[in-house]
Amino acid sequence: MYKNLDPLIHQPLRLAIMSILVSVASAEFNYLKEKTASTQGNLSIQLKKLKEAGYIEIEKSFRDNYPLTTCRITPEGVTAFEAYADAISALLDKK
Amino acid sequence: MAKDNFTEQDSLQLIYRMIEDARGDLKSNRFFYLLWGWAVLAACLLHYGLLQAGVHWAKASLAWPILMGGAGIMSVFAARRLSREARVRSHISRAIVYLWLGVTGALLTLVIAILLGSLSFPQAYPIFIMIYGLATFASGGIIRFRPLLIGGALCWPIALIATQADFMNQLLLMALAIICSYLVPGYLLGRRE
Repeated sequence: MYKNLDPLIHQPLRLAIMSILVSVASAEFNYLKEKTASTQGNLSIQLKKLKEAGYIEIEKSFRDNYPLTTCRITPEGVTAFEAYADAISALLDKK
Repeated sequence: MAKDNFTEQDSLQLIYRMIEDARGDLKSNRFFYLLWGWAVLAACLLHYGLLQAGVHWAKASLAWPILMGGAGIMSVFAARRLSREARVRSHISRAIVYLWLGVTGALLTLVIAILLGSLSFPQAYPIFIMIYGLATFASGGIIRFRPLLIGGALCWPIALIATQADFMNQLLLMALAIICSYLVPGYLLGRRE
């Protein structure tokens, strides 16, 4: 049933990250952690997977001498998210 | 977030919840409406009061550079602080920033035209009111907030009346425009947040 769904997005935490990033210009790591109610370790792993797929960009910088991680969705990520949302809608329509 | 039995229905709900959550975090920056609303209102009324009291027009119009300069400095500091503290940046806030930068450019062009003597105060004031209305109306549309739309739209009939009014009444009309377009929507934004 799920063969048309992008496996990189069809996972709760990665889908949550993509859903947030598709609706904003950029978001900080702590914001994503709070909104997705995830642990730091798990969030880091899933962000890395999305980055490796080219769906998101991760920028590392400093703010007030503390490391700051900012994430934003790429055009490829937007395309993949839209395709995923279309596939989900198609599956629901079939039911 | 549990991974087991993640159905397409769950997916859709999650997408919806996350997008709504991120939208709910957008701050409307009502601080700027209130800051500029009170600064422009004070400048209008001070200018009016000083002229009524018989103060020379050149001295009376100093109310503007002093209050606008003060509000401008406060805005720069506040914008820097907000930008530093923002954990999420929305497409909407970027659109609003560029809209208001454009408005600032238009207002400064008018001020320079007045200083160069190519426009008189009575000619320029209705244009100021029109630009306030345009910016507020567009902001209201972008953040979907009806009081800003209404306040912005009200500026245009006020501007039209101002084209027929003498300078003293133009100052009062501008004060009215600023109450409708900045102050009332600014306070109502607080309620929404």
